[in-house]
Amino acid sequence: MVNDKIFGAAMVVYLVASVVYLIYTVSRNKKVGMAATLITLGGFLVNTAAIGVRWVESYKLGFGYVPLSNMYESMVFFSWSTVLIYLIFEYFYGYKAIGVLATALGFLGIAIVSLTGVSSEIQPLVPALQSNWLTAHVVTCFVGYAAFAVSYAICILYLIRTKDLKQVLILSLHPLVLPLLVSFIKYGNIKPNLITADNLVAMWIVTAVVGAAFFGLYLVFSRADDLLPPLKVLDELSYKAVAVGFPLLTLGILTGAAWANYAWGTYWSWDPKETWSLITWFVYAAFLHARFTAGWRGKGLAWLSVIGFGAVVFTYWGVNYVLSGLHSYA
Amino acid sequence: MADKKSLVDRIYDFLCSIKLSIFVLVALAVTSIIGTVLQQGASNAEYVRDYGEAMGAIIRILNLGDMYHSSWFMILLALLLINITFCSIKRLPSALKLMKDKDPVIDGRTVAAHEKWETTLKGKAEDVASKVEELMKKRAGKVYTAESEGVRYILATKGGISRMGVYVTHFSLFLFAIGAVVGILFGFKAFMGVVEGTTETQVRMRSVAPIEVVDSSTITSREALTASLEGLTQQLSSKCIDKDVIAGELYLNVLTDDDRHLTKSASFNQPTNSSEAFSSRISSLVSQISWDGVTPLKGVALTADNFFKQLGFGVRCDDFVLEKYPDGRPADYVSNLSVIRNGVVDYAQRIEVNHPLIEEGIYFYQSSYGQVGANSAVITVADSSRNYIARGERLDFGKPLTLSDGGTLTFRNVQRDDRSGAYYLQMLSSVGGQNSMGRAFEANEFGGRYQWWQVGPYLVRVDSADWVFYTGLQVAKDPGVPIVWAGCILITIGLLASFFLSHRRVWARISESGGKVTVAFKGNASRNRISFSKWFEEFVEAVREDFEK
Ligand code: HEM
Repeated sequence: MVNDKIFGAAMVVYLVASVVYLIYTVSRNKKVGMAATLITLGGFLVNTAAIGVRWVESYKLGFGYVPLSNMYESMVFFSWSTVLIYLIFEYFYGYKAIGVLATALGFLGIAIVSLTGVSSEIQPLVPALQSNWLTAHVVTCFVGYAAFAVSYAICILYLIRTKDLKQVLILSLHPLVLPLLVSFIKYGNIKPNLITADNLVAMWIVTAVVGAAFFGLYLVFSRADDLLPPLKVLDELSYKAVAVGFPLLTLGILTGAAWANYAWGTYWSWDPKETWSLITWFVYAAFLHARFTAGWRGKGLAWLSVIGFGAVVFTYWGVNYVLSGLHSYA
Repeated sequence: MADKKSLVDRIYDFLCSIKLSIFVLVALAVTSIIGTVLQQGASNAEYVRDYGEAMGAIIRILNLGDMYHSSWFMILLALLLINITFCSIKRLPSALKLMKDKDPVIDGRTVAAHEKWETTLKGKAEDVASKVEELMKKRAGKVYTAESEGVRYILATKGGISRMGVYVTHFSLFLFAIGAVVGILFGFKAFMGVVEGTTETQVRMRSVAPIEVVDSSTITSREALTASLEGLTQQLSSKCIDKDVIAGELYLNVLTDDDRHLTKSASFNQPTNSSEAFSSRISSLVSQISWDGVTPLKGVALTADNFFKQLGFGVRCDDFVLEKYPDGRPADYVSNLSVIRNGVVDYAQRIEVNHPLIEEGIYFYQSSYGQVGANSAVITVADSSRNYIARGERLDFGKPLTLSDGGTLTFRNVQRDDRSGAYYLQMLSSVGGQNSMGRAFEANEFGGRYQWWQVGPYLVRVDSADWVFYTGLQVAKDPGVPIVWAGCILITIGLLASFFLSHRRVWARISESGGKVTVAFKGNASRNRISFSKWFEEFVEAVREDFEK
């Protein structure tokens, strides 16, 4: 199929964009900044085209469906939405430093499915997935996740910007929590409804690289004081991203419930996927109250957003690869 | 001396506090994890086996095996709602006051001025004021004016409704809770399997816990046993009547002196408001247990479980269709159902996955299917030296088919193969008084690989079978759903209002002294200060331009 080649192209463009954003952030050359934005926009269009092509290809195979129904499709859609949310933020607030990490996340989304060999094959939908609620559910959830990803990116920059070496070290190590957890469940004597953790080695490598990249960014950005936006701005923007993500996640949970009600007659059954999306929701509700009402600011809040994104990653990946449940896809 | 707060005040403050809500939210998030890693709904014995005695005890005491319905989890959820209630009672009045704020007199008020701008002009205060008012009306919303001691005040306010966003959001959580409770109290979840061509009027309840009554005293005589059972029967039947149970299974369980359990079961299918019917079922259970040598008994338990419910109408499955993609994977499950009342078809409807049938508020969802038999099959038969002795012949269920060599084949039964899950035909061959059973799968069942099956001396190929299916329907009635949907709509509106709208107020204070007019603006926004600050800049720019003209 042609679509995965186009997704591959988008992935490469995102990586280039990330590097160009980095050069811009360090050099402050306006032309470079312009180039970074244009490259990202280009990558976004390629990503959009790839989704379109995949859609058409599914029809050519004789069972067309909106391409948002398995791990591969939701992951490339996650890349698409993350870059979209970032571009909107750049349009409104203009802080391009965030682009370094946002496009890198866009790159990672597609890279991870390619690297871990998630099947890109277009397969017909099983009966339960043939519902418009599913489309609404996936779109709202994933655009919400993307907003949380942008908030995560901003919080990373925030923590780097504090120039607190202890924070930065924790920051560089924190991605390893994911493979650590999975290894623990796999080799420890725990008996959850474990199905598989085949991609453990890839998971270690990817998270180690990501952690090292955070440290590298710290080395680059700590060379001068004003390379990154002020802490106050980063704090405000990370909150804004959560304020976009929270209503979307809420809608995502609601449309999921509506769909379950149409398919099974039960809008809520506490299966692991549902429960984890609720956990994510609770964490971000705590974030909003901590910030808005209890007046928290700073590192603590940034970490709460990081934990929230950890919950997103677990809802999405962990539940699929570690726990079993109703949702065997997305 | 610092005045000490009374205990009541302190409790009140605690229940209002955001600290409590953050604590509860985090506690809910953390504890919810347990139920996603610990298998839910297993028996105590299984937990003890998997996690050991100590952990097993903890799991039982905290009800972690069904943690989302445990009392401590419910308390956490209730605490969230109590917290919200108190917090709203405390804050709503001042939020309402802010929303309706119409007081243009800024002097003497403590309003956080997020934006400020001041200028001095020549001219008359009156003219300046009317110009400013005009501009504010155009750009900043609804305008209120006042004048006091020669100073003119103007207030423009916009988006006050957004202050209600959080209250709407929080209130919607109550609707979810109420909807869930209504569903539990007045709804039910059940399952029914309907074989093609037949009608069912009962459903098997899923969400009704068994009712059990126990007598754990030592029973040494038959009379004592009878007396004990009489008491238990009374209790059980009144509990069943309370719960509106119509039909189900009864279990009588006695524990003998040497720790053996003896269980007998029977079904009951009467209105349970007749306890005589109950008693007679139970005495027939008792008579099935042989007592000799097992007395004394250490206890008796009587349980009613696997309840059925009468629908009040019948559901007939006219036809079940398994639609497949070209590669053989299931594309859709479709049932043609008819609702039957007083023996006649009320109406018929086709249902499929995601498209239920709705009757009297009861939803019937396509959820599974299975094969229960076959009416006939088309078969091809060869003898032991591989010569065809029948080609494409129709074999009817139960009717012997005579083959050209004088032997017969009879289609006796349909069964499911445990390993592959595929269904096969059980056939009896009969040649010269020699009978043998054999099984044969439909030709395409294993990719065409094992097409020939040995039945006695014959090789049989089943070219096609006319299967009889049953359709598996999930049955649900949940009058709480509309309330939950109302909550969904409200929470969406509430969240949008609280995140994307902002209450903006701009005050102007216009005073005149020494032939000069001073105009001072103050601006306050409930949120989105960054964009408010941009907006304020533009507003000031417009004011300046207007006066320069
Ligand atoms: C799952 C539960 C909850 C959800 C989804 C929720 C949602 C929200 C949202 C979206 C906001 C607006 C936040 C912002 O403006 O940034 C908010 C504000 C607030 N919440 Fe909650 N909330 C929850 C529980 C609670 C609880 C238990 C309390 C108890 C006191 C509470 C008290 C407040 C208060 C006082 C505000 C600020 C209102 C204001 O603007 O003055 N919330 N909540």
